[in-house]
Amino acid sequence: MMALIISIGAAAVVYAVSILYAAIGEIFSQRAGIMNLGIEGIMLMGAVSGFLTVYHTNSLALAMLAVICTGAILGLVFAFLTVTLQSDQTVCGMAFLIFGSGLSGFIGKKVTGIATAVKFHDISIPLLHKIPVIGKIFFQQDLLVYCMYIIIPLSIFYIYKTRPGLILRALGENPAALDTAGIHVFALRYAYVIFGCAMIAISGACITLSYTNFWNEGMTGGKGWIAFSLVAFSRWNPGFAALGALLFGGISILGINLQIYLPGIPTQFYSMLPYAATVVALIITTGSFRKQHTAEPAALCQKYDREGR
Amino acid sequence: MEKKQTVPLYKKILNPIICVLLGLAFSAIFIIISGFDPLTVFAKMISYSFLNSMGLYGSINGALPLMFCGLSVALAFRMKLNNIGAEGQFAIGAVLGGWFALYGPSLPAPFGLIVMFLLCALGGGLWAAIAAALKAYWKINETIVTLMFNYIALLFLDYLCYGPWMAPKQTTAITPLIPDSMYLPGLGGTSSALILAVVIALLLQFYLQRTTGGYQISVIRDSSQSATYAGISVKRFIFIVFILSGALAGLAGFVKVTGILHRVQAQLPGGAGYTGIVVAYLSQFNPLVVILVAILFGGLQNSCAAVQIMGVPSQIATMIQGTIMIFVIAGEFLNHYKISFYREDGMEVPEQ
Amino acid sequence: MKKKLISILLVVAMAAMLLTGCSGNSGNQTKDTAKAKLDYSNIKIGEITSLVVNDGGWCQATHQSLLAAMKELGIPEENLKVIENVAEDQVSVTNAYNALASEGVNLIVGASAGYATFLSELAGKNSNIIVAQQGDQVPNLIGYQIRNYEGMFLAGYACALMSPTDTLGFAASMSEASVRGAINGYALGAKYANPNAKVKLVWANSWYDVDIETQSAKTLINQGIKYMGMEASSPAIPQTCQENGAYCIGYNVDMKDLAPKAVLFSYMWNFAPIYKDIITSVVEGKADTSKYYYEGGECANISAFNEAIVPKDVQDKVLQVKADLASGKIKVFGGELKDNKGNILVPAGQTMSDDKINTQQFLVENVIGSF
Repeated sequence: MMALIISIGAAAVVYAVSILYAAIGEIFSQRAGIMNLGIEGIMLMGAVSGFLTVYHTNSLALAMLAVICTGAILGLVFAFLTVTLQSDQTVCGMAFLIFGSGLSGFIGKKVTGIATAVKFHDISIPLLHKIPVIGKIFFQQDLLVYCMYIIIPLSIFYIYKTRPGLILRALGENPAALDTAGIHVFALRYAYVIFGCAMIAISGACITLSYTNFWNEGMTGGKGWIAFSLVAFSRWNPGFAALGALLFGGISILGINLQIYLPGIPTQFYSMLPYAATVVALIITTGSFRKQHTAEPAALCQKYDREGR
Repeated sequence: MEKKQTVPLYKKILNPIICVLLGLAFSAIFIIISGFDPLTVFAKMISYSFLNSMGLYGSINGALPLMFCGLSVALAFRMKLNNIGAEGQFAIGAVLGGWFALYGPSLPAPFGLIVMFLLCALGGGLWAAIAAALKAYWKINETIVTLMFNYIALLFLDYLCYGPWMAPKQTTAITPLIPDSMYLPGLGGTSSALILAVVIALLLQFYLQRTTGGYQISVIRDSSQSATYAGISVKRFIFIVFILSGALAGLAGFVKVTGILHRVQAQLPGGAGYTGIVVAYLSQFNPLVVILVAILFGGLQNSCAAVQIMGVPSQIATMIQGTIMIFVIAGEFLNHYKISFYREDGMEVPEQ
Repeated sequence: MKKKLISILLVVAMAAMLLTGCSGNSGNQTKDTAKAKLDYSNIKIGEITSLVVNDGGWCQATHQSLLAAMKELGIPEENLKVIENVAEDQVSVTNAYNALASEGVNLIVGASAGYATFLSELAGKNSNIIVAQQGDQVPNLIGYQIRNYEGMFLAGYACALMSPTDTLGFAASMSEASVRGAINGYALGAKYANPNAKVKLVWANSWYDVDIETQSAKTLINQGIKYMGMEASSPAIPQTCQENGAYCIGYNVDMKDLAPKAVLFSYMWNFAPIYKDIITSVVEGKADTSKYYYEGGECANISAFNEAIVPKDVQDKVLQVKADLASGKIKVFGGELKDNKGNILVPAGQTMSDDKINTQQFLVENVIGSF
């Protein structure tokens, strides 16, 4: 039983981290008032750019740099479209999704199905990994996972306890007020969208640099959408996003385990579990029967135009 | 709507065309990188997909489900309901209709089709109604609910097609043929579903433009608060719009099963629900334009096969789709710029 | 008013499109009737695949086999026209078929079982183009399928020989007949080595999903399973095994390089002999669309052993079983055979018909799991 818990836990952590980068990036972006629906496409671009760099240079550091740059460039374009040109955010996201999946397949065509020699390997943290159960679940992971352990508290602290965090929250609630206070709304939105896209790209890199060490077209397989759901589900709070990601990963693995423990039920029904659980959890956490049921930034998806002020 | 009409018609038509051309020019860069002449490639794409009967019919057949999904999304987004669940509603519509076609009593020719039409619409509508209820009563984010329901619906369709419905002596997940009486009549190389799509688009256009219901939807879109003050039941319209939208997506299942495939198959929607979102946006949620844009998209997907024979990578078509979209979005700015000369209260500020 | 104008314009435009479509109807069909005599230098072959041809899995196996067959026959590589990323969907398949037909191909290879229904309809209307289709036998198409259970029998046999426990694992993708064939072959091979061997089965319910495949492998490893078979396209399972000290048999193509410490050997599809035969028959004008190839032996091939982890005696035993399978000494689906619900599938002394094997709807006795 203990072994089962450890294994489900450890696998859930790895899975969770690979979508959390995207979810936290998206939280920052949405908190700034810009919804990015193109997560999947940007993840794929991140995945392929990281993989190509590793393939040619064998350097993980360079690869991460390439991933972040790719994300940032895409973010810049996305910000230009949504902030400067004030285009519809949903449709921009869809365009990025399609463009990203096409372009990533195109530039990764030659390296499909080849494994690289280098990837992020698991590192056991001294002492901590000896803690029963928890040690094995949390402290025998790779570098990208450990970075996430730092990012989560840091991002919560940033959003809720610092002045820039306060401004960030206001950015998504009432940009006009900020503008009158002399804060440059456009510049800040650019910054957060670019940051968000870079994080999303790292999520993609988790798949080609840590999860596995190969590339195949469309290999994110819907993770971007899951990350997107996590954002609203977490009420725009990175901490809850982490819990949600663990829950989703855990239930998905639990479903596979149930195939062994409870055979006889068509396995497709087990595969539905994580999606059904997400809906149930969403109802529980954001249903209007709760007080303060929604934390959605008021200005999310709203066009903000300085001239129209 | 008011704002849009102030954009001159020629600009409304010309802008997107210029943007599409710019998008193609941008895609041309990638075609040149892969070592081909972009003009030859584009010429081949157009001539293959639209300038001969075989290609055109292929494009239209590919477009038929996209039309219905596009209409479904367009309707929902008219009220700012983010229904991205057309894929799942499509699947459930096909499940319910397919069940009748495969296992239901056989009725004389037109009645079987009519029952199936209704069942497909009902299936899609009911599947969407769950999201509507969650939205209306508990204010649950409909984007996520409909998205998750897509996965569930597709897995359920998988279960049926890999399990109880699978045709005997089959190695793949496909059901037997439905009875002949359930085939939609053909129309040249395509299906009479095209007429159905145009009729439904016209009806939808009429509903949105000419009826009180359509007007109320646009009031809710602009501000659900002012709609409530005006005595419009927003809840009721969440249900109406969501169910109608789901029913339209369910009809994509009807068209695909009775008009094209004559079977039910695992992964039947094949992404049409998501492409429908793109189609709806590019047509500015105008039902009739949806039909045309869907055909363009059908053609684009169709031409993907033709250009691959020249050696152009298969991903090019997807990239062109994305690029064109990005440019069209950017191009909309030209229209938006006008809008920013108007105040919230609708008073017109003289230009210059 | 303008709205109306737009609507009218649109309707007119659509009508015009339909009309041009109808008027261009003639002249397309008869193009290829009078052509030069077919030989190995001018035969044109079309290939339709569901993913890219270097996907590291199924499509790659097909494509490489086809190239190998063409090379042996001296057909230049540029005579092969490939259309990738074709969904198993009527419209997509029809488009791909038409595109190839307009290129004047003589033979089309449909490399995914899901195309069978649609290609069958298309081939029925155009006898000029021969279509070879992977999967079950359907009218109008030359069908071909490989007895993958033979190769997987060897896989299960090797795993059971090496496994310290009686329980083996199997990670599968989607529940199609050939996939069940792989599972059953594996389980029966394991049973041949160890009568107590059991195979725990998990499904990904997806053809390609790195996450779920990884999770499947982890789930099996956590059951204490050290050796597993797989029917999946990504290298995620071998790599998970490698990281967790477990072993597996690669599938589709040789996966040794992707996880050198975990892959004992790989089951490899080898369609080349079948393709060679089909191409020859097309060139000689003797193609028979009612022919069905159901081949084992060298077609259900296994890769070279991974010398570092497979002991010599296991290698020898596996090769011996391979020879016994080829000579007919071992019948994989020979009686008495029960399914895992207790029904007798084949009474003692008989063997299952090919037809039943090819469309199998059961899991054998020692498989723990369902479909």
